[in-house]
Amino acid sequence: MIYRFLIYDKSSTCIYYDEWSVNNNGANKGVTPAAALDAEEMKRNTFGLVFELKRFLSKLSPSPTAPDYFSYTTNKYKLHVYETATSMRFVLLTDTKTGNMKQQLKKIYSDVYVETVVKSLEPRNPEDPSIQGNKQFTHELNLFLSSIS
Amino acid sequence: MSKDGSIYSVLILNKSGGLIYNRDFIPGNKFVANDYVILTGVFYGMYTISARYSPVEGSDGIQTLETEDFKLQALQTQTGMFFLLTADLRYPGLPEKLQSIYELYSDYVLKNPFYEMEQPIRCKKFDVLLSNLLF
Repeated sequence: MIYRFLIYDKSSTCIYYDEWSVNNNGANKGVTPAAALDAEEMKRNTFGLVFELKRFLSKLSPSPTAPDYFSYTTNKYKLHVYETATSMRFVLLTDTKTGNMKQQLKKIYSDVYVETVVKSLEPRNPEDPSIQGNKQFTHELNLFLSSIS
Repeated sequence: MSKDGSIYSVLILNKSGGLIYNRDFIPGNKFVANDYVILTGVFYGMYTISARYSPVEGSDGIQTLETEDFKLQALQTQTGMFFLLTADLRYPGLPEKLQSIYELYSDYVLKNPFYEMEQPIRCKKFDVLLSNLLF
């Protein structure tokens, strides 16, 4: 069961976010102004957490290189992060029973993101890197996520 | 002794998130004691954030943290202390080991009349028994 998915670009901006709660099936992105502020705070804090965790793990790790994938589990959920060579971060929150999601996150990057966003001929606004409104990306992503959950 | 399934280090944090014990079991570690202090200082913050932004109600913080090379198991006690254990991915039964370390702490640190609460742990018996427990 997938709970939440976020993509951050290399300047730590959240360019995509979606959430699926246990009760409803639809996306739940915070429609009231108060909820929208909370969502922004959550996105920023999630980035901070992921960033710090990677630093923490590289220091503690017996291996000399920093990890490109890691996950943590709490008693209620599991968070997986895959960081690309271009410093984009794909963050997925699932239930605790889910296994290693590195290959799936890599596929989201190579088969969904690169194909529908990077290779897209649509003009992109450098001021607003968000791909929240990119219908092709959203469609392909949802197809992919349904196939893995 | 094969390196498969071995414990790398044990870290204990007091209620305020300060490091009161660290022990490395792998030779040639690139660490200075100060590094650990700084590192574990962020752990409490990360634990709190991971609990707060849970997508599901009533989550505690990080219990297990895994990369492809090693994993870290965390135990937060009822008294707000943290026991952290890093080990090879293949090492079995980490949560149980952590519980045993907590028991050793209660028996050989807390019951030591010279030990001051929240201070760095310098109890020989604890060190010896910890090595016995993990090897």
